[in-house]
Amino acid sequence: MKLRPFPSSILVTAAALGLMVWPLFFPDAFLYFQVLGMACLYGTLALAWSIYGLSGAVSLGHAAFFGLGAYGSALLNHYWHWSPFLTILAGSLASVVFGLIWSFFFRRLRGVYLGLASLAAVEIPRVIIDNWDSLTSGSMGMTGLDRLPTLHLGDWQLAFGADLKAQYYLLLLLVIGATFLYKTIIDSRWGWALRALRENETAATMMGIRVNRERTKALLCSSYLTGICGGLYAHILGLIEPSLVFSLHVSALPLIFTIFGGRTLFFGPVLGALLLYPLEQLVFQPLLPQGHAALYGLVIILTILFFPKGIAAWITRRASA
Amino acid sequence: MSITAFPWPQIIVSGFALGSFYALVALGFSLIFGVTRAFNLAHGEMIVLASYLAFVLWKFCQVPFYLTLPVCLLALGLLTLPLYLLLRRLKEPYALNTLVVTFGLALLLQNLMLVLFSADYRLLNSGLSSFTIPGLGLTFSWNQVVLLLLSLLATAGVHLGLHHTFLGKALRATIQDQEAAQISGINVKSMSLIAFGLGGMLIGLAGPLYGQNMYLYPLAGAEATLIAIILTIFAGVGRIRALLLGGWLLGLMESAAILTVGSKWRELVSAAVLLILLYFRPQGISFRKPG
Amino acid sequence: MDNQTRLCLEVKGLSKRFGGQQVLREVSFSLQEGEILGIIGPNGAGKTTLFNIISGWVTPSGGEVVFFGEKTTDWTPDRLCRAGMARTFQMPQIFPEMSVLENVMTGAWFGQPSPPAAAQARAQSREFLELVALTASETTPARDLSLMQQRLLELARALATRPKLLLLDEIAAGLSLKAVKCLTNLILRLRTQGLTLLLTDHLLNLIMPVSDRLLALDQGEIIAAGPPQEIIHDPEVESAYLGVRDPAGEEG
Repeated sequence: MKLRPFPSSILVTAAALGLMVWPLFFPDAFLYFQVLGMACLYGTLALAWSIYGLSGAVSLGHAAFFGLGAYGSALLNHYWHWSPFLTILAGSLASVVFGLIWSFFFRRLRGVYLGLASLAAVEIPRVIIDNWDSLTSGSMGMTGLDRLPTLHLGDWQLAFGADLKAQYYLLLLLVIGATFLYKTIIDSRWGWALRALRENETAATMMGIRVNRERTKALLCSSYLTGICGGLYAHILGLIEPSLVFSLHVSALPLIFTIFGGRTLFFGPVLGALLLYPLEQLVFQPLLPQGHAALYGLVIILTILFFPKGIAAWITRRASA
Repeated sequence: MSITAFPWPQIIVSGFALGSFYALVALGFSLIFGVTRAFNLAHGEMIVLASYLAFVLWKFCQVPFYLTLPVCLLALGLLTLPLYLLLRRLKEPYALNTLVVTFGLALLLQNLMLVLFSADYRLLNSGLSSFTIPGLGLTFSWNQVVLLLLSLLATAGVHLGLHHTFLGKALRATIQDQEAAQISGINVKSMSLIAFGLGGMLIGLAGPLYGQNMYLYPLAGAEATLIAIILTIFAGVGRIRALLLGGWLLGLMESAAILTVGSKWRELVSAAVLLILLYFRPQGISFRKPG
Repeated sequence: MDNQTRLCLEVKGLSKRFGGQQVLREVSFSLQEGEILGIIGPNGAGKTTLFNIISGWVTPSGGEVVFFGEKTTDWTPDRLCRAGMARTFQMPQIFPEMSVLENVMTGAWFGQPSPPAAAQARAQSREFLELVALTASETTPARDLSLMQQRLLELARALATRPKLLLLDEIAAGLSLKAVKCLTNLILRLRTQGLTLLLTDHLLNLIMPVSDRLLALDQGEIIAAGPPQEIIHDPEVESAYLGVRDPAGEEG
């Protein structure tokens, strides 16, 4: 008799519940609220990257969307004093515009060359923002941005900016929403179309799938969500500079989390972020204060060599065996 | 700035020196890619690593600059061996997998160099002065002359080796068509090993020259990788004269950009050139023989 | 052919030049609804280029394609598919990681003018798999299939888009005689369902028994057109084929 594979959605629901409940027992673990909160933000970033990845693209340039979201939001906040949640939603449209330009100019690129082009594409917004001193104060960066606002629900206050616990729950909610969105996309007719064009573009076209349109839609979704992550990042930190938000590091993180977590399963990207980011921050940073990101380089090499499908695939195989 | 005051001779000379060096930078990448189809995104980081090695030898062990060249040559030649063994184990899609793995390697090397050498900017000072050409009022440094001569020498050496030795011909055959080379009795595996070794030696040669002419910091490698990729796409693999031509063009463009719009915008030149190249050549690097 | 049938496809003066090479020269023909037209010609005669132009992959240098009264020369392949034109390729184009059923379902779900519900698309897909008599189980990943099975899969998937016109490019190439027999029967069965077919083959053992008409192409030009028996005895066709003296001989 063959065992049915262990339903991974049960596993994921259990994990989500665990992440929601643990602060009740450790109400003062502020370091962990902060680190896990950021892990949730990066998990969302990894999911955003993976939406574009569904079309078969391996982007090495998502920092472009992240940085544009961050700057779009920061500029609206700085000049027009809009409230952060509004600036994040509106400012991320800058990422979408860049996504439109990207999908037009890179429409004929695939695989390795798309990766290379995306790597170079980050330089354009970065250098422009770096040199546009009068608007963005250039490489000095922008400081004094509003923190995330406080929400009043009757007597209950949710200070997303000042209270790390509230911030953690906000980011947890974000990543749960994004996971749900990602799973919905994968299971939808559109997700099927993306899978088809990822596997064989010629055949997908022959089956009536509008290959370029579906790919562009995926990129636009991905860029908006990435921009939102960038905007949140700007207002969580309160300051940004080009070398921070347009860095290779930001482009590398979603790729590494997704490949480590597992490309083939809907919760892979989040799993990667929730495991690796705390490991890097809580274990490696104290050991190697300067070069702790070396961990990520090492992890990606070992993952591709030893578990090319990521650890999510490995876990579900274990769980169903 | 008026036309007459425009520093054309300065741009042209430094562009040529820089461009020849770019060709040397791309040579190792192109050789490894051509023979094994492996993308090495850590190429620039390896050059920077060689640079730091030369810097340490020169600064702390008082080794004269010219002696650091053979040491780095040898060290990087040997260092590519583990890289070869690593990349050999990757599966399909091979090119994309090598891209992702070497992206990780670049990140790893950057951070290790940050730990070992800190983020400070450094320059290898080989003690050479500059000189002025009388009558023209132009100043050049001997560094540039060394850079130009050594780069051209190495490039010409590889060109002659590929075209006039038995081994070189076998390498070229492998670059053009792996399967056909295998059928005609060429051991593609050992050709790959040789390509990695040679590529590593070229990286080792480029390292000290880099440190002598440009500021050295752990993240400096990305630029060199970009240049190697640009020139390889521009030239196609195994075409050294086209590589040199591309290097000169890029060098001239960059030094023109520095002297006209300032060095802050220079970073945009190589990225923009790569994007434009890819726009017009979406299939990327060509393997075909010219003509 | 009775006069009631509509014109399915008209090809008017198609020319194609690649670089300095003229691949197609003023090719014109038309196809009635329900008809099976075979195109023969030696390698390099321009058959695949002709298919690529009709199905929207290649833009011609001159001439036009009319599909059920609409000029479709500049349509994209996916639009043509939704309008009712399907094709197969010389090298089967499958979705390697998808299962057999998922492959066919992609056609049913995306290729029809109005998309059915997922469950309906799946049910339709099973019907087409049955029709082409693909022996492999529906959960097999497509990459594990043999060449013949991949061709049948591609055919089932093309049929699942509910085409009015089906283009089969060298569907018999590399198959055993027995497999070709099966395909012949299948194609004859499809025509009874009112499908219009355009097929190429450079061997004649599939195309001879099924075609109503043959078109002989050589160096990008139509050198003969007419009933199959007439065409293969045409002296010009024989000389274009050289090696193939008695192509009908294998029919048995």
